[in-house]
Amino acid sequence: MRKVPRLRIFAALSTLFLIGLLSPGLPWSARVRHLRDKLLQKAEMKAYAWRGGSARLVALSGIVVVRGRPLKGAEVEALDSISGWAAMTSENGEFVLPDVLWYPSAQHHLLVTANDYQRRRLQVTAPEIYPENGMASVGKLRFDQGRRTEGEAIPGKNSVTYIEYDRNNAGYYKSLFQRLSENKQTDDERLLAASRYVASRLLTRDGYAESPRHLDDESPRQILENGSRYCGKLSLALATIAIAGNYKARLVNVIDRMLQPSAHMVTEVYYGEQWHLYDPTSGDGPHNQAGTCVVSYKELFQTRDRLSLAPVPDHLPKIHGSGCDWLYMAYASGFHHYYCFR
Amino acid sequence: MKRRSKRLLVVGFVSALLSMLLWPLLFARADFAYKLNRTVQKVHVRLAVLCGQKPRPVSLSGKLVGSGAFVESLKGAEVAAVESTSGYAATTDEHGRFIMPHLIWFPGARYTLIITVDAHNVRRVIISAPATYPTGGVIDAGELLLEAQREIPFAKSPIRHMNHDALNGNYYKDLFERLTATAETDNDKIASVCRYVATRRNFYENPWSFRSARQILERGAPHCSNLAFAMAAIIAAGGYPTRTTHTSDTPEFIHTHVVVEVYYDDAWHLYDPTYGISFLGRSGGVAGYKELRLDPQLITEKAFRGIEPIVVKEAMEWMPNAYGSGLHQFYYINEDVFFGGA
Repeated sequence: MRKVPRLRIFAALSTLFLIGLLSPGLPWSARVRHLRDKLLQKAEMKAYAWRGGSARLVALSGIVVVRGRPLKGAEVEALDSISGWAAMTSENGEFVLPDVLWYPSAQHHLLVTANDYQRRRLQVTAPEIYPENGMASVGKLRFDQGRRTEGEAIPGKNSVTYIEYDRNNAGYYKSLFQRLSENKQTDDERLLAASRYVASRLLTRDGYAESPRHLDDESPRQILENGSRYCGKLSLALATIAIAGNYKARLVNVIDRMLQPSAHMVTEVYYGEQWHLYDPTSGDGPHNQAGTCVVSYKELFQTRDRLSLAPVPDHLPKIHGSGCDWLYMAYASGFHHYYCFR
Repeated sequence: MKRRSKRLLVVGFVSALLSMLLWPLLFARADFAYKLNRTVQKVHVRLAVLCGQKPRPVSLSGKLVGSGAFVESLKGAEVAAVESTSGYAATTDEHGRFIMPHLIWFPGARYTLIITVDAHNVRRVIISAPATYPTGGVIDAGELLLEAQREIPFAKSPIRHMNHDALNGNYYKDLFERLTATAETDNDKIASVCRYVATRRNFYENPWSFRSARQILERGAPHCSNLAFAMAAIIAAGGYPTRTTHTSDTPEFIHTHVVVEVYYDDAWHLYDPTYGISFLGRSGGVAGYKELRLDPQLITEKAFRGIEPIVVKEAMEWMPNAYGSGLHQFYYINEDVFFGGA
C-alpha cells in the first residue's frame, strides 16, 4: 500500500479545521470572522501608517433603499464604531453616521435594522481620498442585497451598552412601582406616573452637592432617594422601576449634532408591541398627533415637527440651554446609543 | 504505544472536525431542540402503547396571569405547544384564558408551552400531564404566572418558515413593482396586491396541482391557502416581513381560512386575498390577527364592499368564529429567496 505523505495529511486536516472555524452557522464562526476582519483592518492601517498617512474619523452618508423605495426609520450603525453612535434613516432613507474610521479604501460593515424581523449587514468602502468636509458618501445601499444577521450578540455591535440590573434592591423597585401605578388603568398612565415621580427627584437648585457622574456610580435606589442632576441617572432610575413592573426598558442617549454635541438621555419602555419614550428629566411622555399613545424615539424622530415636547429643566446649564428647540434638534439628528439591561 | 497515541490523536482531531462541520446541520439550528422534543414524545407514546396504556387526544386549558406590564400584554398572547399534533397554537382571550387542542395524553406526558407575548417577550413553560385521563378530555393547567416562567429569545422559539421558489423571484418582484407603481402608502401597496390576487380566484383548478406561487397567479386557484401563498410571495418579494396566518373556527377544523399578515409601521396588518379585503382596527388602521381575535366584531359586512351579498352572508357566518376561536398557525416567509442570502 502506498504511504500518504504526512505533510498532505496535515494540510488536509488544517484546511478542514479552517473550514470548520470560518464556515457560517457555527456558534463561534461570527466571532472568528470578526476577529479576522479586525486583524485585516489593523494590518491595512499599519500599512497606511508606513506610507506616512494616519487613520482619521469620517462621517458616512447614504441612502438605504429596499426594492427601490426608501427604507425609513431604520437604524444604521457601523460595526466596531469608535463612538458607538447609530443613526436613524429619514423619510427618504437618508442617514449620516458619525465617527467611522477612515483610511484609503477602508472596508466597513454597516448593520441596518429595519424592524424587529429584518436586519441585514452591508459592506461599504471608504473613498481613496479623505473628503474635505469630513463626510464621505456611500451612495445608495440596497437593503435587500445585504446579508441576513440574526441575534443580539453580534460581534462589533457597539451601539448598545449592556448594564446590570440592580437586583439587590429589586423588592424596593417592585413596591415603588406598585405604589406609583395604583389606580392606574393603562400602561401609559402607569409609566407616566413613574416618569413624573422620577422627574420630581431632579436636583436643579443652586448649591447642591456634586453628585457622582457615571451611570454606575450609584444605584438607582440611591438616585431616587438622593435625587440627581443628570438625565442619564434619572433615565436609569425610571427604566429600573419599569423593569420591576415587568416591562422591557432601555435608555436612549441622543445628541444634537456630530461636533461638540449636547447630549440627553431618555427611557424607552416596550408595551403594546411598541416602544414608548419617557423623559424622566421633564416627566414628559410625548403623545402622538392623535393624542392616543406615547410615541417611540423612532416615531419622535420621524414626526418631531408635528409633536409638542415639554422643555427639559436646566439640569445642566453649563452644557446647553435646555429649551425645546435644542431638544427637537437632539431627536431630529437621529444619532443615538442604547443602554440595555442584562 | 507511541503509534497508538498518535492514532488516537488523529481520530480525536477528525471527530472534533466532524462535529464542528455537523454542528450547523444539527445542534445550532433553533428548531433542532423542538424536533428532538417531538421525536422523544413519539417514542414515549410508543412505549406507553407497549406498556398497555392507551394514549388519547387531549386539550390543555389554562389562564395566563401577571402583574404590571403583563396585565395588558397577556391579552392576545400566543400559546403554542411543541408536542401539538396539528401545529395549531391558541391565542389567549381578553382574560388571558386559552384552550390548546391536539395534544396526546399518556401517563407521564409533558408539554412544552411557548408563550409569545410579542417579539421581545417569549416564555417557556413545562406542564406535566395527570396520571389519569382528565374528565372531559381537558387538562386544566390552572393559572400560569407569566413573570415566573423562563424567558427565551424570539429567534429560539419554534418559528415555522415557508419557502417560495427562487426561480420565479424576479417574476414576483416585477409583479410587486407593477401593482404598486401608483400606490403611495404601505397600506395602498399591500391592498393593491391583495385585490389583484383576489381576482385570480378560479374554482375550476385543482387546488393541489400547483408547484409555485407563479402557477397560482397564472392559472388562478380555488383555495384561500393557494391565494394566501401567492400573495405572500409578491409581498415578501416587495421587501416586507410577511407571514401567512392559518385559522380555524373549531379544533375539528369545520371552517378553516388562510390570510396574509404584513409587517409595517411597527405592527402586523391582516389582508384577506380570497376576498381582496382587510378590516379596520379600533385605531383606524388595518387590524392584525391579534386584534381581530380579541375583537371579532371588527369583522363587518362593510369590509366586503363590492362583493356579492350571498358570498358576504356566507362568509359572515363562519369568519368571526375563525378569528374569535384563537386557533391559528403562523408561517413566516423566508425572504432570503428574494433577498440576498443568510
